[in-house]
Amino acid sequence: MKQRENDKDIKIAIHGVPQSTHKMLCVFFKQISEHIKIVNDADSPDVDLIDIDFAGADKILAKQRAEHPERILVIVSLKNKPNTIEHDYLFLKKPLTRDGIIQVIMQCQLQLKSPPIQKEIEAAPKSSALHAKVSPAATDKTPSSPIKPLENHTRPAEEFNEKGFTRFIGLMPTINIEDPAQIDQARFSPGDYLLGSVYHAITVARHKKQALQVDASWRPLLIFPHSHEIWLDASDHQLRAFASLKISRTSESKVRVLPVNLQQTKVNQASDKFQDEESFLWKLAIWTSKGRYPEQIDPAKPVVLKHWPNFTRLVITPHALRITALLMQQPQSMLDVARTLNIGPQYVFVFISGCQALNLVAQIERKYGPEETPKKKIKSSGLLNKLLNKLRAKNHDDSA
Amino acid sequence: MIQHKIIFTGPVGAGKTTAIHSISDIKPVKTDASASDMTKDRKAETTVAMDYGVMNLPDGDKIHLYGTPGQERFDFMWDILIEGGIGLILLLDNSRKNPFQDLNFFINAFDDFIKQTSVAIGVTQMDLKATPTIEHYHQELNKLNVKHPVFAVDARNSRDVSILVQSLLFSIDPGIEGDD
Repeated sequence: MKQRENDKDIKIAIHGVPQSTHKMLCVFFKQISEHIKIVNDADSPDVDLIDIDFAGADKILAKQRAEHPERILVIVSLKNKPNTIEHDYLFLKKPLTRDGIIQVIMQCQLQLKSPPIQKEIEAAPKSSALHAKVSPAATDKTPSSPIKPLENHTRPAEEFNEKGFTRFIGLMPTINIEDPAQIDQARFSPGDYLLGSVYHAITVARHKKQALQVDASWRPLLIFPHSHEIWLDASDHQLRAFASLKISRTSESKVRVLPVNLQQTKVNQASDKFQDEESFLWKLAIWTSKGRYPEQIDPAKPVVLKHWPNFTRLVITPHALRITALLMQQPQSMLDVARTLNIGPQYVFVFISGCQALNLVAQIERKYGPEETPKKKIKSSGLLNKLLNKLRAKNHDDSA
Repeated sequence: MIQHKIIFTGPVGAGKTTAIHSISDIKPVKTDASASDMTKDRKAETTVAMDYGVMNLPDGDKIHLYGTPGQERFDFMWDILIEGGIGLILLLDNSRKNPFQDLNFFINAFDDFIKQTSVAIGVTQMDLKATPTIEHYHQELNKLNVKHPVFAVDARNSRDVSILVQSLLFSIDPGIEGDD
């Protein structure tokens, strides 16, 4: 996904004001923070600021929304907040005040999830000739912004052996690899679960570059594509329970993907509910899988793993490192991986489910006939085994 | 007696000393000194010879952990250090000006050793600078036609360092199981 060129800058395009006012606003914004950049419409702004008192502003508004729905919309007017505009927008009442602009910029930042520039804003000179000219109401005592600075929402990895993982994931069926019926029954359709809705919404949010909300008749789940973060007001325990519930196809209309309306969320009050998008998707996928495999993956066809998952920031499922190392050496089917490593296929299925949610897997046609399997079991090294035990024991000691 | 070693390498300030400290059974032997030349802007003290730590295994086996000096003027020592090494841990500082240049430099410098053994790459300081992302590092490695493990790592966190070293072991031999 394309990153914003400079995460700290907010690019604003101003529409519907005379040239002289435009110039004046440029200087005004620059005085507030050097990270507020006034740009042309062609320079891919993050924000469209439209003065709807301007003649023809309604047409500008309709055009901008149609062509750039991903941008944050800020409406400026002398009148009170209009309720005739269908789109989500932030409002600035004229005459523009420094504090009013800061409030709106902070809200834009939250939607874009760019690093806060509040300190620089506060440090900027508060009075200037231009400021006084544009903002006669500059003495407004607007309360300080409740928006909290960005925090690091990455969580350390959790590493599980088979026993601990069963506790973590809930019920984990044992699958007999030699029973085709059991293998066939171990498939699931991600689209039937919250996983499918979240995955779809993330794809849309990335494409539109817009923060979106998944409304699945449960807790609101917010997607911030610019910062690759998810906001969910639910505990892991609650998420685990909901992840395994099938969302009936007949009630699909109940799952809605909407633009984020910050006024109606608790994001400002609960910044600790943010999670890294990759870690969240991975976790959601393994809780949905519970040892099953996504129906899009054929268990008998070789799986290509694009690269190693970022294991230090993920839940490490049993045997995940071994499975990865094996697939990095050579594409193999999920069933062959289980046979080669002599592990239950459910552990391969749950791992591949996580990888598929992160777009790390692809499948190719079988290179060798099935008669060439099973492969030779890899000979293990005594020293490496001892070192592995030592490292794992150290991890357990540290987490105890 | 065979010396079993894991080598930690990477540019100045990438966290080699800290990473060794986080998994070593002994207090690492440090050979830091006041930084001079090109390192002085990044660290007040830097490793001028090498770091050393050890992991004691059952039956008296030991894994020696060696950190290479970050300064390139000591690269004559690298060949000596890697002799008999099990594999390489490469730590990269994401906040440096051009971490891909560092990546290519070290992959190239240890090319023969990596081909004989394996390498796992830890990217530090990602909390200070989020880009390049881990995905970008994989894209850079694809240009070299290799697929090594690359993880975001906090060198102070023994779990992160442990997972990095485990990935190195599995890259060498996916068949190892441990006792669980």
